[in-house]
Amino acid sequence: MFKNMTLRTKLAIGFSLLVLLTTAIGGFAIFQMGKVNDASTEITVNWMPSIRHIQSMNTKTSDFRIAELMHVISEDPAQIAGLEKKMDSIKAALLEDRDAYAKLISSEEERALYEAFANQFDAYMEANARMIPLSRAMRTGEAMAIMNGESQSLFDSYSATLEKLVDLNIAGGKAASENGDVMYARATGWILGAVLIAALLGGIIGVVIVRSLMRQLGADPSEAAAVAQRFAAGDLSEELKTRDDDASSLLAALKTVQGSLRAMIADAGHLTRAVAEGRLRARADAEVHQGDFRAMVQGINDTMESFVVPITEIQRVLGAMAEGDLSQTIRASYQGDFEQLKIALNTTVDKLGETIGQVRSSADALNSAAEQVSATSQTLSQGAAEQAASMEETSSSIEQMSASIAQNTENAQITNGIATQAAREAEEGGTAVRETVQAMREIAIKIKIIDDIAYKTNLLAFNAAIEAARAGEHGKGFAVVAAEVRNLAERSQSAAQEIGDLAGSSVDRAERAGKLLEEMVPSIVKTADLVQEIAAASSEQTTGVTQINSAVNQVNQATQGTASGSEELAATAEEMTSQAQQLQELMAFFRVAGAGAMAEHPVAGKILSSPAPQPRIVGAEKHGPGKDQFIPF
Amino acid sequence: MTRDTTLESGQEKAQYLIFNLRGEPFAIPLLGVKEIIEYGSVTHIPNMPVFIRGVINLRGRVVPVIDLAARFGEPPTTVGERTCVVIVELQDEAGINDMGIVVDGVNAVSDIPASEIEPPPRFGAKIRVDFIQGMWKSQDRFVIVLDQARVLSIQEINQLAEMMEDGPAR
Repeated sequence: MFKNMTLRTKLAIGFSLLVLLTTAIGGFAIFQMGKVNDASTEITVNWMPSIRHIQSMNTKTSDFRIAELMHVISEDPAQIAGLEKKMDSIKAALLEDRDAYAKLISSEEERALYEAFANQFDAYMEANARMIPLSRAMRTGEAMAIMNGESQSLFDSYSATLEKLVDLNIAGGKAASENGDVMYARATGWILGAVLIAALLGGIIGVVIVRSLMRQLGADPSEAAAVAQRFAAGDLSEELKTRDDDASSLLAALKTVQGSLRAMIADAGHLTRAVAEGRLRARADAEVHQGDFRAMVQGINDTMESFVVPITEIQRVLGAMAEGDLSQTIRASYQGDFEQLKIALNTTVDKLGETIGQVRSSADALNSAAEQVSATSQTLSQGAAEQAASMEETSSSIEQMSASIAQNTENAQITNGIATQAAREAEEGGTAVRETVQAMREIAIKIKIIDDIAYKTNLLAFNAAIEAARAGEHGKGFAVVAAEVRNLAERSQSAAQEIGDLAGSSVDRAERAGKLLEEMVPSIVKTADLVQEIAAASSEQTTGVTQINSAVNQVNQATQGTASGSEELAATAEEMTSQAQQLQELMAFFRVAGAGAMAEHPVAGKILSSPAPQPRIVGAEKHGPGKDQFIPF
Repeated sequence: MTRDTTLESGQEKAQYLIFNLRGEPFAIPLLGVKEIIEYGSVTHIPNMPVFIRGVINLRGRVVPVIDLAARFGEPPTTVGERTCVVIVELQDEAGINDMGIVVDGVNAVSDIPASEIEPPPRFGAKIRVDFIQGMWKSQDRFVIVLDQARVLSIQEINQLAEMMEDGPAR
C-alpha cells in the first residue's frame, strides 16, 4: 500500500509523524518541569519565610528581655519611660511576626509546637506585666526575683520551642528539595527515552521514502534531469547505467528512448547520404522500428519513392533534347511541385522548339536584310562624301566672314580711341574757355578802376572849372585847361565804359562757347560708348563665327566618320550574311514537333498534340561574333 | 546872383552847372557853386523834414545837406556811385551860408546866353513853378534852370523844421 502512494503523500505522512512525536516530547518535558518547579516554589514560599519569621521572633524576644532587665536596673524615670515605649514597639513587631508565621504553618506537629510557644510567650508576658509595676516602683529586689525566677524559665522554654520550630522548618525545606531532585531525575529519563524513539522513527521514515524514490527514478534526480537535458540538446552519445533488475524506472525508459532514437537517426542518415550520393533507390527497413518511429522511417522511404519516378522521366526527356530531339514530353501526371516541374519542362521543350523555328526563319530574313543594309550603306557613303565637300566650302566662307568681322572690330577700336581723344580735347577746350571768361571778368574789374579814376578826374575838372569861374577874368586860362582836362576825363571814361561793355559781351560769348563745348563732350562720350559697343558686338560676332567654324569642322568630321562608318557597315553586312547562313546550318540539327520549316530537314521526333505554329520573326537575334543588333525591316 | 543881375547881363553869357536829378537835367549858376564833392559821411539829424538829409563836415564847418528830389515832393534820392554833393553859397539877410545839395550826377559846365533862357511854363512841370527860374533848350531836351534862392530859402527850411518840432513832418 505504501508503495502506491504519491511522493507528496509519503513525505506528508513521514513529516506529520515526526512533528507529532516532537510535540508529545515537548508537552511531556513541560509537564515534568512544572513538577520540579512546584517543589522549588514550596521551599521559597513556605519553608524559607517561616524560618525567617522564627529567627526574627527569637531575636526580638532577646531584645525584649534586655529592655526588661535594663528597666529593672534603671532608676531614672525618663529612661524607664523610654524603655517601656521601646518594649511596646518590640512587642508589637514580635506579634506581627508571630501572626505572619501562623499563616505559613503547614503541619499538625508544627501547629502543636506553635501553640506551645504561644502559651509560653503569653505566660511570659503575664510575668512581665507583673514585674513592670514593681520595677517602676523601684522595688528592684522583687522585680529581679520575678526576672530570675519565673520569667527566666519561661524565656528558656520558649526559646527552645523556637529552636525546635526552626529545625522543623529546615527539615521541611530539605524534604521539598529532595522531592524536586527525584522528580528532575525521573523527567530526564522519560524525555531522553522519547527523543531516542523519535530519532529512530524519523530515520526509518527517511530511509523508506528515499528507497521508494530511487526505485522509481532509477538514479539520482539531478542525474536523471541532466540526462533529459542532454537528450533535449540532441546529445545521445553517453551510455546510461541501470541496475540489472531495473526495467520500470525513469532512467530505464530514457535508455530505451535513446536506443530507438539512435536506430532511427542511423536510418535517416543512411537515406540522406544515399540521396546526397544520388542513390535514389536506397531504402531503410521500417519493420525494425516501433510506433511513430516506424511511421517516420516509412515516410522518408515514401518521399524518396516520390522523387524517383519524375526524375527518371525528366532524365529521359532531357536525354532526347541532348540528341536534338525536341519532340519528347512527360505525359504522366504528378502532384504539387513535381507537376509544376513537369509543366515547366514541357513548356521549355515547346518554347525551345518554337524559338528554334523562329530562329530559322529569322536567319532567312537576316540574310536578305543584310543585303539591303549593304546597298543602303553604299548610298550613305556617297552622300557623306558630298556632304563633306559642301562642308569645306562653308568652312572657307566662314573664315572670310571671320576676317571681315575682325577688321570691323579693329576699326571700331580705332574710332573709339579717336572719340575718346576728341572728348578729352573738348574738355580741355572748355577749361580754356572758362579761364578766358575769368580773365575777361578780371579785365572788366580793372576797367572799372580806370572808370572810377576818370570820374574822379572829371569831378576834379569840375571843381577846377568852378574855381576858374570864381576867379573871373584871371581864371579864364585855367578854365580852358580845366575844360580840356574834363574833356580828357570824359573821353577816357567813355573809352573805359566801351572796353567794359566789350569785355562783358566777350564774357557772354566765351561762356556760350564753353557751354557749347560742354554740351559737345557728352555727345562725344556717347559716340565713344556706342563705338565701344560696336567693337564688343564685333568681338562677340568673332566668337560666334569661331564657334560656327568649330561646329562646321565637327560636322565635317562627323561626315567623314559617317563615310568610313558606312563602308564598315557594308563589310559588316557581308559578314552578317555569311553568319546567317551558318546559323541556318546550325539550326538544321534540331528536330521539332510539327512540320514547321522542316521541309529540307528530316524530322525524327514525334509530333505532339498541338502542332507548333509557323515561326514568326518577333525580335532581334544575336548571331556569331556580331556586336550589333538589327531590327529586321 | 539874382534874377535882376541875370536880366541885366542881357545878351551876355553866364556859366551854369548842369546836373542830373531822377533822370532830368537841372541847371544852377556856376558862380553860386563853391565846390563839388563825392557823396559820403552824411550825419543824419532826427526830427528834421525829410528833404534835410543831415549834415557833413566840410573842412571843419558843419554844412547841412538838402535832398532836392525830396524838396520837390518826390521820393528821396537813392545814393549811387555817381551821387555827388554840390556845395552852394546862399546869401540872405543873415549873411552867407553854405549848403549841400544831393544830386544824382554832375553833367557839364555850360555857357548859356541869357536870351536862350525862356520863362517857366505856367503849368505842366513836375515841380513847383516858383522854384523854376526858366527853361534852357539844350541840344535835344529842356534843362530846368532852378531859382536857387527860392529852392534853398533858409527861411522856409527853418519854418518847415519848426513845424517838424511841433508835430509830425507830414
